Amino acid sequence: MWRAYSTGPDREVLIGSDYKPFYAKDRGTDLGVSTWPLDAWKIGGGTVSGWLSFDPDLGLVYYGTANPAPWNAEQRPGDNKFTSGVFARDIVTGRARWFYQVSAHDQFHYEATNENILVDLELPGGTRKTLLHPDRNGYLYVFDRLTGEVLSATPFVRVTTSAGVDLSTGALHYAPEKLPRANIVVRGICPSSAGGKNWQPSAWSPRTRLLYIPHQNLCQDEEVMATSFIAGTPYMGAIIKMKPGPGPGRGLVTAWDPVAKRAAWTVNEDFPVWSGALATAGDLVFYGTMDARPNPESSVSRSRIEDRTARSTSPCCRAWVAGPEPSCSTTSIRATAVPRVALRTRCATSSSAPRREACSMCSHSLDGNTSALAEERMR
Amino acid sequence: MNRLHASLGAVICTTLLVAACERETREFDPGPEGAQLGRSLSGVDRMSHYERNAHALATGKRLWTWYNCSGCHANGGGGASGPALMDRAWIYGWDTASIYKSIADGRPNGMPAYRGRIPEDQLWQLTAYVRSLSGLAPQDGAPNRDDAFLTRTPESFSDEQKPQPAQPSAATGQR
Repeated sequence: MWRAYSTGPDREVLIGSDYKPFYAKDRGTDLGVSTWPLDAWKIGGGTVSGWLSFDPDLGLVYYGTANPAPWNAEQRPGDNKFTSGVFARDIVTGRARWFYQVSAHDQFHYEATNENILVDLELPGGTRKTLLHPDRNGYLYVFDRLTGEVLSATPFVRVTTSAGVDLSTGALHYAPEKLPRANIVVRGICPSSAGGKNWQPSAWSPRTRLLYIPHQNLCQDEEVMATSFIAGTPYMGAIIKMKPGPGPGRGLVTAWDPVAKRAAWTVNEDFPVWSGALATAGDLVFYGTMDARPNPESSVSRSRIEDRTARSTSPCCRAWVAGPEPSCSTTSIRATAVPRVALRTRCATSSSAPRREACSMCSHSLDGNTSALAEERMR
Repeated sequence: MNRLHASLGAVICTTLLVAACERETREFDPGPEGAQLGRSLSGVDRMSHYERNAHALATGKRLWTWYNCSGCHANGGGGASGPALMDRAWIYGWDTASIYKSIADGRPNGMPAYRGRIPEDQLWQLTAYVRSLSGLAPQDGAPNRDDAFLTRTPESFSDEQKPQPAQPSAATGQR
């Protein structure tokens, strides 16, 4: 049993001689104190509110830390270690092995609490033990999970708040014109504070070697102002107004190839895709949406479905399950915890697979009337 | 006939003037133990005075940000981790006494108690402003500007939402 903090002196963060971050920016003594204004680290946030991943071979546990407080970054000059970054810790002792601050002096409440998916990738230099981290700041990070080196960091959504990650220093280059300032409205901040992707977990398929990322396409205007710390209340000092990002919908699912560093395909959705994704050995990907369940009697909703299906540029099939409780979908519906959620299935087979075959695979996983309905709609 | 009209006009003018006076009244020193005004009025008058008073509503709006109400309920009361307060759904009641109690004593699952931490007068100003978020306070006194940029229709332009009771749920911002 051990306990480690995200801010404060090294003895509380469990940082010792075996702490070897890859980049100089993350090295130093008591950075959890010295990168803050006096005593601000005590109310500085950096909670562990997201996912934890474990590599049994390396004996390391990986997790991201949340944003520094308050949101108004002018009240906390400095890097604000060890917030908005990824920790690798020894599972037995809890001592930090490496840390990488994803968003130093986090300006946009991006945090780094999104999931860390541990996969071994065939990269140009050979097989690497990697950690895939689709961050809220809009970049898909591929780490060497032994050392914390960033092998690549590629935007998977529209990003206006930064101009790339320097792989030699590990620094994220913020765009100066988008930094929130007190009493000034900064417009066109992309992604929004909800992130290019939030807590909804991605799914990795070892068969297709693709990461299926459910995420949102939102931007925002923001104004920050002085705020006071009051125990038991949010410590923010920011007003934000979110709006749809450029493109056809406010949400999408991206099938990301981390080796080629590009999207294999995307599906646009009207609403942010707040559900997690599930990839199966049968090459299906499940996710939920916030659409209301369509009324089968309504020609309006039906034509809308068909129109959307027709507009899809993907060669893969796509089924809309509108019938009563299809057997294969129960888990996903429950997992999304969104009432009256519409469920879509999508074949994850490669684009060369014949469409007919892909469709029959989808149909097999549905039952009875629902299957017939789905098949009819796909025809 | 003319005399009747004249006296009727005088009555109307006086009524408007009195109402306008109440809207524009400013209490600069409510005293350390709470509002002087509060002590001098009956319960019902005290409650309704604040939401008929432009200064009380405007101050409530400012306190809404200062005391971090906006962190949970959002800048314009649209709701986030806390329930929306610009809609018609009310878990703990929408009358002035119930809203005052919610702010003063707190509610389960996250609403802190502000009684004893801020002046009594400010509790009433916040109460009045919360009612104006869904158009329950008179529109002529409700704020129509923001210190920061607008994220919603101004309170003074908000149509009254027909309040109705609601159960705590994820949909109302409480689990």
